[in-house]
Amino acid sequence: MNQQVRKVTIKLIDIYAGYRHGEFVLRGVNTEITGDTIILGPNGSGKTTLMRTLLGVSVSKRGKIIIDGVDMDSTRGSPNLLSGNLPELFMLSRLPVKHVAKFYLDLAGGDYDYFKDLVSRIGEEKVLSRSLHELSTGLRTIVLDALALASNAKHVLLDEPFESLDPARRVAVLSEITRSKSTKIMSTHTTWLLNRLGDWSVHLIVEGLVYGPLKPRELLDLKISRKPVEDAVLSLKLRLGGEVYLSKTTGTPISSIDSLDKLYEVLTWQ
Amino acid sequence: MAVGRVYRFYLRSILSDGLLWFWAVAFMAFWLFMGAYVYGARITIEEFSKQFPEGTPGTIIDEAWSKFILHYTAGWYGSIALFSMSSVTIGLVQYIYYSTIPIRYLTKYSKATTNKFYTGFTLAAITGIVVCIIVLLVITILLYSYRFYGAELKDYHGLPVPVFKNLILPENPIGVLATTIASGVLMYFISSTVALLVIVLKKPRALGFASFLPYILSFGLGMAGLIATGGRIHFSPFNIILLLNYHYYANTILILDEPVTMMWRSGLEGSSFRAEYTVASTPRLDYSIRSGLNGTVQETERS
Repeated sequence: MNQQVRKVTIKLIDIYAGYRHGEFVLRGVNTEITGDTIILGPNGSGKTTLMRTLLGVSVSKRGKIIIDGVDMDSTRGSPNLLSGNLPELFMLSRLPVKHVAKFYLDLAGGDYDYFKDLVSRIGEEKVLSRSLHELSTGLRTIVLDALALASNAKHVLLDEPFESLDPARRVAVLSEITRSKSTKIMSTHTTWLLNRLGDWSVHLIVEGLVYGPLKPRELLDLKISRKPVEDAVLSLKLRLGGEVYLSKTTGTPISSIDSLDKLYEVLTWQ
Repeated sequence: MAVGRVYRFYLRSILSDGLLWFWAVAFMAFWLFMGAYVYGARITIEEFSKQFPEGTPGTIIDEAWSKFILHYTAGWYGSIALFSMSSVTIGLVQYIYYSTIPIRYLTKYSKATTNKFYTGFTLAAITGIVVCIIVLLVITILLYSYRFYGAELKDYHGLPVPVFKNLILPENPIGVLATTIASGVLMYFISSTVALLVIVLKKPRALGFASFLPYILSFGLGMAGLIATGGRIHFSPFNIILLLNYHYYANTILILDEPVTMMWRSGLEGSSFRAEYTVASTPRLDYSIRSGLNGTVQETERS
C-alpha cells in the first residue's frame, strides 16, 4: 500500500446541506479529514449528500469547506484537486463511455489509458463502446470508480464504490483503491472492509451528523446500545430523540453487523 | 484548448442524438414531402398555364412558373427551417439542464473555466443547428426540384444517378446561411434561458413542458404568421426567422401586412416577365401578373 501521512486536508465547518424545499440532510457537520477516510453510515444517513457537498454540487449548503487551506466555494479551474464517482457528474451524454471518459480525463488532467485498463480488467472491454445509461448497475459502478481514480486528483471521493458488485469485483476495486496515491474518502454502509483498511480513519455518519474519527480496529471493538452506558466512547443523536451509545462493554458488537443498514434493526430488537 | 474539447464533445453528442435527427430532420423532411406532393399536388405547369391568356408564349409561362415555384419552395423552406430549429431546442434545453451539475463539477476541478465551457457548448449547439438546417436545405432543393422539374436517371459506373433538369436553389445563399446562423444563436439562447429558468425557479418537474416552450411558440406564432394573419405577429423572433429565410431564398420583398402564404402571391404581383421574341403578327410584349395567381395576366404592348 502506498499510504502517505498528510496534514489536515479537508475541513468542514458547520455544514448544513440538503435539497430543495426539504430539511437539511446534513445538520451542522464539523470535522476534519486528514488522510484516507471511510465515511460509514446506514442508508439515508447523508453519505451521498456529504460527498455532493464536498464536491461542491449540492443543491443547498450553509457553512464552509476548506480544502488545502482554500475555501471550496472559490475554487475554479483546479484540475487534479478533487474527483468523484457520483453518477450525476457524468450522466450528461448518451455517447459511448470511451468518449465521455476521454472528455473528462482530458479536461481534468487524468490518465485515459489507466481508465481503459481498469475498466477492461475489472469490468468488460465492451463497456467502453456503450453509453453509461445502457450499463448494468455493477458495470456503471466500475466505470464511475475508474473515472474518479484515473483523474489523478489529490483527493478522490468515492460514494458507495462497491454498490452492486459481485465479491470478486469488490475485492478487485478495493485493491485498486488502496493502490491509488490520492487521498481517498470513501462512503459506505458495509463493514467488511474495515478489517482490510486498518490504517484508514473512520467517520461515522448517522442522521446527518458526523462522528469520529476512529481507527477501524477501535470501531470493530465497540458495541451499540440504546441504553446509556458509562464508558461510552461515542453517543449518536437520533432525529426522533434519544441517543445511541457506542462503548467497549455493553450492547451488540459492531463486528457482528455486516451492514450499518442493520443499525436500526439491531436497536429495535435490543 | 479546453474550448475545443468542450466543442467537440458536445457537437458529437448533439450530432449522434437519434431523437434530434428524427424530430429536426426526418420529421421535417416528411412535412417537406407533404408540401411538395400532397399540399402541392395540384400545382402543375399545366394548371398554372391556364391562368395565362391563350397564345402567351411558352417562355413567358416558364419564367412565371419558375418564379412561382421558387416562392412556393422558399415558403416551405422558411417554415420548415423554423420548426426544425425549434425542435432542436427541445433537446438543447434538456442538454443544458442535465449538464448543470457536470458543468459545475468540471468548471471547479478541470481546465475548463465557466467561460470556456459555455463558449464551447454554445458553438457546438449553433453548429448542430446549422448542420441540421443545411441537411434540410439540401433535402428541400432536391425534393422540390424533382417534384417541379423532374430528373432523369443516368448510369454512373453501373449506379443509377438522378440528374436534375433544374435545381430550385436559393437566390441568396449567403443570406440563407447568415439567417440560419443568427437563428441558431437565438435558439440557443432561448434554450439556455428556459433551462436556467427551470433551475432558478427550482421547478425540475416543469422541464418537460418548458423544453417544448420554444417549439410550441414557434408553431403557434409561425403558423399564425404563415396562414392566418400579418402585421405585428411578423415581428416575433420566430416569425422573423421564417420571413428572412423566405426573403433570402426567393429574393423577394416582404409584405408585412399579409400572412406568408399571401406574400407568395403578392410577391409575384407586379412582377414583369420580359421576353423578347419575334412573331410575324405580334409586337414585342411585356407580360405582367397584375393580381396574383388567381387573377388575370395582362398584356402590355411595348410599342
